[in-house]
Amino acid sequence: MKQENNLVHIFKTGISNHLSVEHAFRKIGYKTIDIEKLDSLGKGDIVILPGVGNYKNIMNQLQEKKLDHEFKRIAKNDVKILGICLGMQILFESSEEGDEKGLGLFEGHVSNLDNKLIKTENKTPNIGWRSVLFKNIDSIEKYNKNSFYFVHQYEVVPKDNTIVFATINIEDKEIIAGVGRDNVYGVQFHPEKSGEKGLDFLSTLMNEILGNE
Amino acid sequence: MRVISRLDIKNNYLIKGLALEGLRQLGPAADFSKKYYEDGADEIIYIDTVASLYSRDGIFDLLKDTVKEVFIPISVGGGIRTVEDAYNYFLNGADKIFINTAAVINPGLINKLVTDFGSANVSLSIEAKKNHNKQDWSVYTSSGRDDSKKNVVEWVKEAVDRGIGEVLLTSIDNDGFQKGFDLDLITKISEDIEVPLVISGGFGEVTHLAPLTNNISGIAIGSALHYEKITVNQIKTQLEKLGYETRK
Repeated sequence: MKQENNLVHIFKTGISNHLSVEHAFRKIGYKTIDIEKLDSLGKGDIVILPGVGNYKNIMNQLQEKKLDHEFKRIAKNDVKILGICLGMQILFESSEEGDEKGLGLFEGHVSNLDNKLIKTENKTPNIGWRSVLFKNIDSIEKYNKNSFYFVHQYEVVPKDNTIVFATINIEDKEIIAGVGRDNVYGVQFHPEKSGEKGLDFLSTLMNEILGNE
Repeated sequence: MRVISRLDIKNNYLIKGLALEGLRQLGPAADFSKKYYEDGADEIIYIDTVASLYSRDGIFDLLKDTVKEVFIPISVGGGIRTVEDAYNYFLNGADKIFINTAAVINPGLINKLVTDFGSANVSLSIEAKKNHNKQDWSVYTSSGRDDSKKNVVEWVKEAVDRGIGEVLLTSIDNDGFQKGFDLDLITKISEDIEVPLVISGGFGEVTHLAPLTNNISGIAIGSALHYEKITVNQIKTQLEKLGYETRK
């Protein structure tokens, strides 16, 4: 039986809710360490990209420190990556929230929700608990229609929809809530802020990402 | 609809009064948030009532303590004057921040905060008090102490134009009395607002939920929960009966 990896590296950006992410991972049995560089990461390591903030800001910071290239390197080297909220959005190629290029680990762009939901009763930003629909990943389908906490003004628009494993519906419009392929995953909602069910989901998703039985 | 526990804080203690005055100390705030988390609250709001007057170290300790055990969003306000103040709240565990007084004095602060933190993470707290001679409301600052003379409707519009992502609307007149929300005020604001609106001030019993409408994103409740007049669960059950989507 292979040894289970239980150390997560939480990537520290200038602005993020890394404390909440840290406590959530500890609660589900992981050890955590904050990192600001990626040099030491290799095959099988886990890095979490938390997200609170602004796309332009975070990409500027990453580019200044040449970390955008580093992220591409670790993604190729089979480091497990989970992006949360803005941390998921920067996995794509570009965003309406800034001219900077994204990390490009997934093909597609990030679009303002106002393009889709303008002047409806469900105003943007999308703040609150939404019922999430899951597909394509057997182990997490049991969370189908559970509510998770969202707080975002932008949504991801992948080129390849087969990477989508979670969606929500607002006013009959579909918004993507989770993507993943190989070693790179992202969720638009905050499992670390979605109560006990959120923590349970996070634990299951991590097992899926790590290939644990 | 979100059911939010609102905790007004002074030196790490939960306090509660009437019309934002005559404050009574109820106990350590962290104990209350943990209880509300376990009871199924959707979000916690901390408003530090003395942060703008004294140091913020107290609220930072409280935040750090809270995020260890409370895995729902924690929104924090009180005394944010600069981008750096906001940054420090996030660093210490806040998921979202509220601004009031400093934004009224310097509305450009809203744009700055939104640029750095994204509109979804920056909320405007409005303390509104009715002008009885006219059918309108003034924006108050510094925990309901000072009349800014700004008109509430115009202020909401300006703040949204500047990029604010959410509005917490507190009726000073109704705060703490548990006699129901200020529905005139809420209607006036909710009709045109383009961002999520959270209402606060006056909730006391489930019948107060009946007149609400679907364009309200959340209700922030203080006294009725703090004095155990009602539970989060009872509120949610009633909201579901009324046809609102609640967290499952």
